[in-house]
Amino acid sequence: MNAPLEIGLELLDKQILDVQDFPCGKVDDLELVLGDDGRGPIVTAIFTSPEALGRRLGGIVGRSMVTVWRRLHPNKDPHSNRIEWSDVEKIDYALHLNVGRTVAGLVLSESWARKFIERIPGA
Amino acid sequence: MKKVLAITLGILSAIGGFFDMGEIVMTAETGARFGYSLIWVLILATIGIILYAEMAGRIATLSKRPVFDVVRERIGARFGMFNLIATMFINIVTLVAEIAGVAIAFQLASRINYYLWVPLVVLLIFIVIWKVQFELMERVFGILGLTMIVFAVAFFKLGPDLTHVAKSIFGPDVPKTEALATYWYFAIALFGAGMTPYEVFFFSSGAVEEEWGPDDLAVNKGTAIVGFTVGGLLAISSIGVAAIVFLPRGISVDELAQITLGPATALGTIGLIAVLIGLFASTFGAALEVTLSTGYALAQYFGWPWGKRLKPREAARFHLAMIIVLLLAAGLVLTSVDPVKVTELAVVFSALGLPLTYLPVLIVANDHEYMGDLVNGKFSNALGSVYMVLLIITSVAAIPLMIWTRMGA
Repeated sequence: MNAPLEIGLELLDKQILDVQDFPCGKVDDLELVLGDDGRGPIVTAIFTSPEALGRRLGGIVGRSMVTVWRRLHPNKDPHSNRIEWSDVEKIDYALHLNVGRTVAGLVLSESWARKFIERIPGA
Repeated sequence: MKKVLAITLGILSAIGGFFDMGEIVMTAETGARFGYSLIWVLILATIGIILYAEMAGRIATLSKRPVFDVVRERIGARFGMFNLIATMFINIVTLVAEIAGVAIAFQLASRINYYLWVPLVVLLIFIVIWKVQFELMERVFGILGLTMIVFAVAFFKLGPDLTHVAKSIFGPDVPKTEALATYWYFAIALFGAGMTPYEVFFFSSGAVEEEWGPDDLAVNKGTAIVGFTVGGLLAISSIGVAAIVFLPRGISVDELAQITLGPATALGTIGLIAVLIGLFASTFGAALEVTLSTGYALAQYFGWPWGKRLKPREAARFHLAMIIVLLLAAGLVLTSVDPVKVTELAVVFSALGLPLTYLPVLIVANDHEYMGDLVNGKFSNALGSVYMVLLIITSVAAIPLMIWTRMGA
């Protein structure tokens, strides 16, 4: 991955797919680290969660997304899902991970919804 | 044969989407008050929806991703969120209208008050979404919806003066009893009803659900053209029927039951039965489309698994979102809102939101990264840009005209 990447156009808001092509959210925010040797910022991780998105959006909508997310989250002090950049396999029409969705801890809200859905016959 | 069956996507989109509750109510009201003088708007809306549905279908076919998926990535998260909220709002109001439409069809067939039918209607929508395969759903409702052809048959049976119809299309004259602002308000409402946003979301997501590939681009074009032309002709016939049956007698349309009068007058019991089946099929088909579109838009914005081809447990948030929206809409129907008024509100909101849906489609259809060599040609872009101007004018004028004319009163 040596070709330059235009973050806004080619990375942010891309669909994330796990190793089995299961949709795991979108690239909501990025973690950048400045190199010690004076080199420019390097992407070290991606974030995906309503919190990361809400903070980026800002405004009433963004703030209420963060608040609601914190309320509904089972942890007392929840963090956004953080995916190490080393877990990223490749980027084309989507961002492909080389790990499964459970490894990245990405399906909390999906399994939360599944608990309701599973009770309905025929699900 | 496969190609013929493939076109059912367009027919469901067209009957359920184009000639839905919004268009059924607005064409009847328009015909009763303005005769043939607003038929040109339907022709304009039909061409517009064909143009943009074809683009949306082409985007979905080539990139394997439907409209809303691309909107956030290409136009931005903030615009996408604004668009999502507006779409949710328009869809819920539209769903209220469609559910009321189905329930009223049941009331007309049974004489049991439609409020009592609402829970059953919602249960039926839920079962279809839960269990019925996408292709089967399209075919059943596409074919049942064809009974709406009764409007075209009734129109010709009533013996219209065709030269008068043609004259009104090319040189419409506003009836002297009506204000010019009211005429334009109805023009905007008809246009909004014809190009309701959920149609393109459904059409493009449907192309992904049916796993269209580059070989299906001809089917995409054919589907858009045939389907929406059928829908447009039915809507024009409905104006024509209302212009012959209601206008000379000075009857105004303020109840859904009245739309059965035209076909019943022209064709008797057969006409009545056909229009009731058609009313059920088109509003039920539209209710399915709106519910699914709401799930599609949410899931595609947030990157959830989605699709009818997945089992509900495999796309839990997508299905949960649809259940919530259905219950919300059903609750709103039961607040005893006037179904005709809600429908009018839904089409005005649609008109307001038109550019939000169609501008991203036009932009992405020109993006080489998604489309390769199959970006819009000069013709599509020229026509697409003309329509964009029309859509923006419609959107800007919608609310001022609604307030000024007191919803066309």
